[in-house]
Amino acid sequence: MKGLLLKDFYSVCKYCRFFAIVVGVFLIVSYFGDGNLFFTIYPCLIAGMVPITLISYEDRDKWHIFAQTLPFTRAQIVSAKYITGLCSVGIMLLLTAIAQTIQMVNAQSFLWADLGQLLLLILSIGLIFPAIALPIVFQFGVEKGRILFIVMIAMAGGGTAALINVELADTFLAGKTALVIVLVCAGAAVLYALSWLLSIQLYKRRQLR
Amino acid sequence: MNAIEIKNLCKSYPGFSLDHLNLTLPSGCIMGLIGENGAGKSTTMKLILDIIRQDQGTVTLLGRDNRDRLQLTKQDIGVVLDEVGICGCLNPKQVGKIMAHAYSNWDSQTYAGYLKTMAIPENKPFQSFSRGMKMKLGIAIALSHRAKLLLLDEATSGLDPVIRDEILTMFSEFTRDETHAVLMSSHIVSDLEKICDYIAFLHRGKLLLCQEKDRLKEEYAIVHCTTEDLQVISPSAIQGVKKTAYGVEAIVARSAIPSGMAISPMDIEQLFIFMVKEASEI
Amino acid sequence: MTILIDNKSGMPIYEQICSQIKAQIISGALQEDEALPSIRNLAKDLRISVITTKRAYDELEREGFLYTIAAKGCFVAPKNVELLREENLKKIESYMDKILQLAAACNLSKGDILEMMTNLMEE
Repeated sequence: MKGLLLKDFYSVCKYCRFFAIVVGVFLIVSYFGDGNLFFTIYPCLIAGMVPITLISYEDRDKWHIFAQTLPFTRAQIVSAKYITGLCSVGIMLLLTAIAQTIQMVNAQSFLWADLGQLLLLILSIGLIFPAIALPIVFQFGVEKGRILFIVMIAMAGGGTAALINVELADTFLAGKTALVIVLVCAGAAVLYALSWLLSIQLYKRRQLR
Repeated sequence: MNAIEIKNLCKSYPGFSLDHLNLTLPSGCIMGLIGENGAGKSTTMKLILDIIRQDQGTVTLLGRDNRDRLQLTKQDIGVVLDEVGICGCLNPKQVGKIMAHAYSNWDSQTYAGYLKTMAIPENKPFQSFSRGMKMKLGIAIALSHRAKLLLLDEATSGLDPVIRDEILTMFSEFTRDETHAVLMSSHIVSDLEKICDYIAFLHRGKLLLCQEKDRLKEEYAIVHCTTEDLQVISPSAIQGVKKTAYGVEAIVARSAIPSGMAISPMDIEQLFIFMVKEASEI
Repeated sequence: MTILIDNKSGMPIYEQICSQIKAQIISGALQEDEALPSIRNLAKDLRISVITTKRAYDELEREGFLYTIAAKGCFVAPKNVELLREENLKKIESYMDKILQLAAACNLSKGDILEMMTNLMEE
């Protein structure tokens, strides 16, 4: 298991440099920007997709077959990807938190509650996407999984952006939104866990060629 | 003890089926699996490792069923498949560190030694390697965790003759220990003939033959004669015939050859080609 | 000990090992009670099949040329005059076999062969 995580770490370092640049740009834009949430949320969304990016590289290199010759269980192979996902979302969340804090302090509008809610919202989004995408990828392979996912993003992208703006506006009006966000985040966490278990079951049955 | 016991193994895909395969590889021995492309060699290897699921039958590896905690059994198995699936971005040094966490018996000194003797650059990414170099790294990994069983699928193909010979020697040396065993597939029959104790022929998912190599060579010989002369020999003793305008060449059981007929020793490759042709005609 | 394996000759490999070890025992190059290499080591050094090597040793043991001590290995058996005679008789037989094959090829009759033999012996 440690071996698999180490492998993911090496791969992330190598393949995700491009992501790092994008993320850097977005963090800066979100700092100077007019508070458009897209730029704030996007880095975490990308971080959530890191496991899928890795799997696509692995499939190309036939690592998914090679890993089967090593002393790992299929459950371990699946779990490694979910843990990598958690780590990358976690790190990105931390970076976003720092960027947002600086921005809020500079704008003299720092509020713990605002920051907390924003981060929970971002975390939810960072978890929901891989939670839906990973089982598809583990069942059908990355090619089919990717197509499905692009469709999903296109649909969800516009929808959530609109929704979030409405919700955030609500935050200042009613206290209830905080509760909604906490519930959404808890839901996302549960979804991630269920997705994890589902992927293990699916991958155990998968025939690899 | 037997390193591998395969009983009634079946697997069908559209357009291919592996039909009730039975194979036993005793410890201390090297078995060569020979077959043309698509004969089922890679399928067999993947079934053994449970990468694809068997429809029927059992596979026992080092005394344990391959569906029972295979990850523990795999600690003692070294595998090199025809395509070494290491992520292109990793370099051999990183691979070594990953393997050290994967195998409880990983021997980083042995590994470093192989990298050195096989001239594998430590810090170059895997994707920049030639096919031969990739294979060599795969072999180095398979030999660096004190495995008891090696499964090699086309592990020598794509390598030049000198390196192939060196690697074959390494496999042969591996079985100096009587608790070690090797199952290797190849279509370079001469490689297998060099080091194997047992030879198995696979053709269209069926096992044509599994025999001790030297017995085969003792049992059969090549007869060069006329078509009429060949009729003297009982048809059941004839494994295969090649006819030309000027005579015939046939692989025949030595016991059935009348004395005085010109014979020459047979090599495994000839036997395989003759048998496959014969099987295809039926 | 010298053993040279020829993969191209039609002679089975176990027979090549047997006959060469025998010859060295008979000539005295291999001494009584001398240890022979283990089956596995001999096979791997010669790059031949372990099973074939085992067959050669089994054959030699059955014929009384070597003996095995469990967990210690194989050793050259004390020379046995009767055995040597037997061995030489076998050799003669095999040469005679070749004579017969050649004779068949040039259509020699039994009488012709016997006559040639008698002439040779009288010389």
